[in-house]
This record gives sequence, structure tokens and C-alpha cells, in this order.
Amino acid sequence: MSEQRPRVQVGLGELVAAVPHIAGYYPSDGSLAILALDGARLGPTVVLYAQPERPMTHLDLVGALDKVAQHFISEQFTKCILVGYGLAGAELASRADIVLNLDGVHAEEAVVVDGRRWRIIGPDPISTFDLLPSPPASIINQYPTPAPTREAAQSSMSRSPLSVHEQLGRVAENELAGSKQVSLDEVTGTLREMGANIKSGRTPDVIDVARVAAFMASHANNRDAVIIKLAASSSELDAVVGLAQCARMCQESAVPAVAGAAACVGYVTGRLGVPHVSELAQMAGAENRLGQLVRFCAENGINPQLVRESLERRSKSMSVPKPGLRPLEHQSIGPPGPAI
Amino acid sequence: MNSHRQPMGWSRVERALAQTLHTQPRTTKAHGATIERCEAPDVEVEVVR
Repeated sequence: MSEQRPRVQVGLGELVAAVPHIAGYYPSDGSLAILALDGARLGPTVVLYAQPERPMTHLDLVGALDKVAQHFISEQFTKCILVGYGLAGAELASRADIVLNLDGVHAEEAVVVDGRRWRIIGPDPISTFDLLPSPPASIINQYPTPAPTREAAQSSMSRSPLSVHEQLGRVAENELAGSKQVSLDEVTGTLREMGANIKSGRTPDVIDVARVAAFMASHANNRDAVIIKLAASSSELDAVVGLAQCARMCQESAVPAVAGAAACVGYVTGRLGVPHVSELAQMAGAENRLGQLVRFCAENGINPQLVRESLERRSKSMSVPKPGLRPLEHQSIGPPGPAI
Repeated sequence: MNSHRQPMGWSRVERALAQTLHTQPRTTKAHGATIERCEAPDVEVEVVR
């Protein structure tokens, strides 16, 4: 399968500049990004950082790096590139170089990013380079624009004040009640359109949001059909972004279904970073099993391919829902109910 | 509709995952270091130096 993918060659500077796009946010000083390599092929990236309430001890670092090495080796990645952020990140990179090497993962390069410049860590005379403003489009086009910080990435997924309730309330309900029932293809098409609009700075139409959300919340098979369709391809960035925005804006009654699905699709396709996925899963609520499952996997570094394979197995046994399967019979767009 | 029950089908996904998860390395936030995994872009990226 991998042979069929387009191939792009990148230099070290381009790769360093692409890290925030892959992570979903600009790592803060004191963080370390570890980019897995299989030969020259890029694999997953792991961002390692200290908990704000507790400094990272050497044992913490070694334990974390041991786990990273286990991940990489289990997926046949035996080399890596280390990118430290700030002086503390450079120190982490130097220590990680030693620990990972003992674990069987050889660091081919270690670099430090300091402000808008980067340099290779090493004993030789050091040159510093400007960070490239635009990493290769073929890479960054596959991710949303990175948030300035991890916290900003997380809060960018919280419920929007531009929700259906705030804007339309019962008008949306009337609009939906009088509208025709939608099909799966229409829903995914609308999600792609929403994502494209968001990239252009336009807010999605609340009627579209309410209609998609009602479809997904009306029957579990509808929601799962959307998940399976979007998760089948990693190139559905617009639809993933549209679905996340839909979760932020939709009617309260549909939040668990839509937010759980957005977390799942964002995680399985790898198009949304862990902060985004965690926030969406949390939005889905503690009783939403899908959201909790995805959150567990995302926060424990589980390879999304495992979830993707489970979804594929499930899709084979699932009947395709009929268009607009009773989308509004049990839906209410009225005032929000109690928190789930 | 205040019922947000999940479809029974997810238990199958969970069971299938459970069979493989216990063999997978896990990151943790229990200590002072947190790890976040991010997926590679869906293109074959070759690093040249």
C-alpha cells in the first residue's frame, strides 16, 4: 500500500519546520519531538514534554523514552531525528540520544529550535539556520493550521459560542422539520464543504450543522457510517475539520454522537493532534463509550492503525443505513438539556 | 432525546482492540513526562541530507 503513495523528498530544515503542523501546535520550550525513521522514510512523531505541575526527572525521561522506543521498534522504526525546543529541549535531545540508542533506536540527527532559528547539535562548529516559513505543501496540506500552543490547540476544539442554540434555536428546528431527509453522501459532502469554508475563514451554515448533527445522532448506524467513510482515507482533512466544527456548533442533544465521531475520525486518520482529539472526546461526555475509547487510545499512544483495522472489520458486518434514517423523530433543537 | 447509549457494535470493536492493546506499549502521564504521538502525513516522506 505504501508504494502507491506519492513520494516527497524533504531536507532537514523542511522537516523541522513541518513538526508543528504534524503535532497540531508549536511545541513549547523544553519539549522534544522525536521523528521516527525507517531508513529515510518518515514515521510517527512523538512529542515529549514535562507536566506543568511536576519537573521531569531523569527517571521520568528514561521511562518515557523506553516507551517511545518500544512503539517505534514494534513498528519497524529503528532510527529517528530529535528536535529539541529551547535550551532545555536541547538538553533533553542530548540525553534522549543516549537513552534511545541503548533501547535500539539510533538518532541520526539531533537539532535544536531556538525562536525562529535552528541548528544541529554536535561538537563541530555550529551553523544556525532560519526556520523555513513554509514547509512542503504536500505535508502541511494534510493538517490543520497549527495552534500557537498546546493549550490553544485544546481550546480550539471546545464548544463554540456560535452554536445552533445561540444562533437559531427553534428556527433551526423548524427548518429541519420541513427539510428533506439527507443521505450519507450528502452528509459527508456537506462536511467537506464545511471544512473548506473554515479554511477560507467562513463560519459554517448553522442549518447545515444542525442537519448533519441530526443525521448522526438519529441512529448509531448513521454515525458509524460517517466514521467508517471518513476514516477510510487519510486525505479527508476538510471533512475531518468540518466534523470537528460541527461538534463545536451543533445542538446539545447531538453533541455525544458528533463529538465522539469527530474524535474517532481525527485520531484514526491522524489528521488531528492529541490535544484536539482529547478535547473532542471529553466533549462527547464520560458516558460516551466511543469517545472514551478513542481518548484512551490517543492518550496512551496506541497506534491508530489498530483502531482503523477494528473499524474496517466492523464495517464489513454493518448494514449501510438508508438515507435519512428517521433523523428527527427523537431530536430536539430546543433549549439544551442537562449536561450528560 | 436524552439517551446517548452507544451501539452494541462498539463492544465488538472494543473486544477486538482489547485483544491487541495489552501487547502494545503505552505512554503514560503518571510521571513527570508526557508523550503525544502524531501520525505521519499520508505521503512517502524521504528525508534527504
